[in-house]
Amino acid sequence: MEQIIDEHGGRLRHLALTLLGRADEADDVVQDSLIKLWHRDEPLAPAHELPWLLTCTRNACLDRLRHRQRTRGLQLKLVHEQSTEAQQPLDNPAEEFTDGQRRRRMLLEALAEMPEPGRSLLILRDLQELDVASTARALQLSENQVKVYTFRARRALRKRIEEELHEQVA
Amino acid sequence: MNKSHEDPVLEANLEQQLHAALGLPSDPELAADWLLSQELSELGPEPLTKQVRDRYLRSTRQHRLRRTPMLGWALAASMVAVTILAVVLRTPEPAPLTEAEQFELALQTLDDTSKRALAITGRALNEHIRWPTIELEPSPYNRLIRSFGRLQALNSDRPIEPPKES
Repeated sequence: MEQIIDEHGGRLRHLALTLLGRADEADDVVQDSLIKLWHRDEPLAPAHELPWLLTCTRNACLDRLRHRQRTRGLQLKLVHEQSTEAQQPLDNPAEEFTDGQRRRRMLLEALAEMPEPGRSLLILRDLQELDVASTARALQLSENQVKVYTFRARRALRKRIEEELHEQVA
Repeated sequence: MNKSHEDPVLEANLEQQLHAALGLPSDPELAADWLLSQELSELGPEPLTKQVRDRYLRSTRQHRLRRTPMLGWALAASMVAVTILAVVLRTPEPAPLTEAEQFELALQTLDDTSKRALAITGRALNEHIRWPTIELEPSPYNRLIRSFGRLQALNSDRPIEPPKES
């Protein structure tokens, strides 16, 4: 289990954190996925462990996001605002963020608003640089679908960012 | 390039080109995609901090430990159940027989065995042996014998007379 955590823990936490936006929830989801892997009756081939864990983590994250939307649509906005505020140091107002930090935040926010499976595809293919075969296995898509949907999702994300930049300039 | 939205084969090819490209592609649209892809790759995962790693390890270990006693209990319970079943279902050992009883049992066994053997042999033989049918020839003196018999019967019904004195 130590080896699995060392090899895949970072990727799993990154996926959960990017989807959920909250570290505590992301850690819970990753822990659950690791425990589920441990409870599996049939052991997985080492090459299939990461896609399986990614599927498990993503599904749990999407469940949580759906639950959030159902039960506390308004609260989500509040929590997001609070977490954004909490991330800002008290003595460092938003204006003092570097361009890089601002750009990074904008990218992550735009990514978080993307529909599925484009969002997960961009996280796995572009952010994590996972190969096509493992991505296809994790998202239960064909390799061709992975390529086409990733291409479309990136274009959509680019369009979204460009629109936001235009709004900021205006 | 806008046509790519209608052509999945072209989109798949472009995606492949984008990932294989080592530098900025000449097509402006594709170049913008490539730049965004590069920018996104900088937001990739970082290795787990020691604190988070330890937390994951601790939680999985705790779960494993919690599960192990349960398995132990289940195993112990099944062992007890098997032992109880074995004790309950075991047939009691018979008490030792006296010599007379042993002798009687031996005779009884011999008797039963021989009867059974006879029955089996009889059944087997019956299938193969044709038993002779014995029929008596009609006697030529039948009528005489029958009349003699009747006469004897009549004589036996008559009272016995005392012998006459001469």
